[in-house]
Amino acid sequence: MNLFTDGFDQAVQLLVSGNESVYSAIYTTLTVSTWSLMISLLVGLPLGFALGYYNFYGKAVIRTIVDTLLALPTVVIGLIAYTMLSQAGPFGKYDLLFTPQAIIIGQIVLGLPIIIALTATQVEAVDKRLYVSLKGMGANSHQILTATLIEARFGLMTAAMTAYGRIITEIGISMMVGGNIKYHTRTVTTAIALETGKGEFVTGIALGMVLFVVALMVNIALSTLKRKWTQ
Amino acid sequence: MSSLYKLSNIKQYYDGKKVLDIDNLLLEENQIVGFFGPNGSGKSTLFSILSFINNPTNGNLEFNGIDNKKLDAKSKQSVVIVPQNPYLLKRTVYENIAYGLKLRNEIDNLDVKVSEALGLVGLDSSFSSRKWSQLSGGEAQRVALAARLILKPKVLILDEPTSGVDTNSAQLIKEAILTAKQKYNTTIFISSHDHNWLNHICDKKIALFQGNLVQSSSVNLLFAPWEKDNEQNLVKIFLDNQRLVINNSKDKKRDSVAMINSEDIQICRVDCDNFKNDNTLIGEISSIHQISTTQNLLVEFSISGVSFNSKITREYMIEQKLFPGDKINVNISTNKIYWI
Repeated sequence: MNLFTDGFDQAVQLLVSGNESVYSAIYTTLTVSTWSLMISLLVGLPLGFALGYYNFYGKAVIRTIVDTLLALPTVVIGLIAYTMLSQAGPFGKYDLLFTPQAIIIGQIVLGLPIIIALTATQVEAVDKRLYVSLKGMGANSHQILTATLIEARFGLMTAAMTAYGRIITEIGISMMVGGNIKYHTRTVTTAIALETGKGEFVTGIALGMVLFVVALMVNIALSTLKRKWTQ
Repeated sequence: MSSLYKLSNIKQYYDGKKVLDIDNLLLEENQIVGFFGPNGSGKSTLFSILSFINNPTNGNLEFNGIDNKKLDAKSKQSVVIVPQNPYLLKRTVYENIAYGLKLRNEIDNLDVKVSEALGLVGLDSSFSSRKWSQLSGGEAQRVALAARLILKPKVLILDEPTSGVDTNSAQLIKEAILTAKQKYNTTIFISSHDHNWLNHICDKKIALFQGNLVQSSSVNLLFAPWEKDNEQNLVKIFLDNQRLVINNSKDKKRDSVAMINSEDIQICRVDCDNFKNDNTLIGEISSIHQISTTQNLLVEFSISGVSFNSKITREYMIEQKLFPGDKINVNISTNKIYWI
């Protein structure tokens, strides 16, 4: 218990003192995870809408694949991304391995099924009268998509939060395709693993706190937004 | 008056089951047409076709003389529908009402237009800042109507606009519909189970039953349940225990629906001794109004809550001194009943 409380005190000091390596890891984490989430949302929202909204041949199979991908371990995604991005892989010529971009690619593979699956579920749950109302007002397909996503915004926010939570806390992808290079691809989670391995529990706890604070801030922001929309 | 819609051999199937089958139907411009019939009779299906939400499985639909498959987006946008239990977007009243104009990229003077549309349905402009969740059922229905009226549509389709709303809202909806017809020359199709309400507002009524067009005039439908008398004839027993025996109906089932033309219902208020027989019923007049395009009158009356109408001449009304609220004797020509 002493270790934890002492570690907590020292962690605050570490953060207040502006430790360069800690802030570098925080910056890298926030940068790559935000890019990953944004791209996952950009691609995943229309795909999730299509999966939830339209009935087509093979829909059930695709749904099963997407749901299965939800459970894919991050280290497996990291491994696949590694083989793709290494010099021997099909995308080796782009020299992306051990760069933040490589982590972003891996995290998109992690976040995309979450966004697609949860968006599809939310769209399926939207009141069926919405389509008739929108179509009956003369909305075209694009306008129906936008309006449906806006109507499902509360659920989609939860989907985005879930994906962000999974992305920001993953370690397997960042470690395997990022390489945990200091001031370059070291993220909060890889730094925690490294520091804990070295016996630097204080730094590990400080970084853990950062993750907690980020999650708390995201939740507070979204809850405030939700309250503002509903009241 | 020119035909706005022309439907030929329209059939609609859901999951292999035929839910609509209309051989021919012409709907004219700048009229208010009422559609009635029991639940599942095909009214909503017909409306979804008329509003271009669904294409018919078979048949031809022409709008303004153009095949519906060749209609441009603008023509389709000139037809709007307020569905049964309309869905309001999870936004403010203002955003709900302005939504259709934004879809059409007509964003000039939105505030003024929203305020005008609210006024048409009897809502104060202060309503515009309310959230969708802060409205009663009647208010939500009126907001949904305002969201369509703001578009000044060529055709406005209302699927049971008065179901679940209070009398005041029903009256305000009626006034808004009449204003739309007058101000924007809007053609209006309405479905309702409230025959009196329909009679007061419609130029023409169309009955639907089991997906088929029954008759495009004043018609009365008498629904199940039926009882059987000792001779196995069908008997309609009204809530006040009045009985209408349908002779020669031994072969009819208890869930049959009787269709009676308004010409086949006779009414009498004074000097009715020779009029009365064992099957005479007592009803109460609720309204009398002129049938468009003829000099005849339609007398609306109810027998223990069941609405009927009878076609009479003006002279007969004067002779019989018929007024709303009067009790009348009613004879229904049971031998002319059409069973569906």
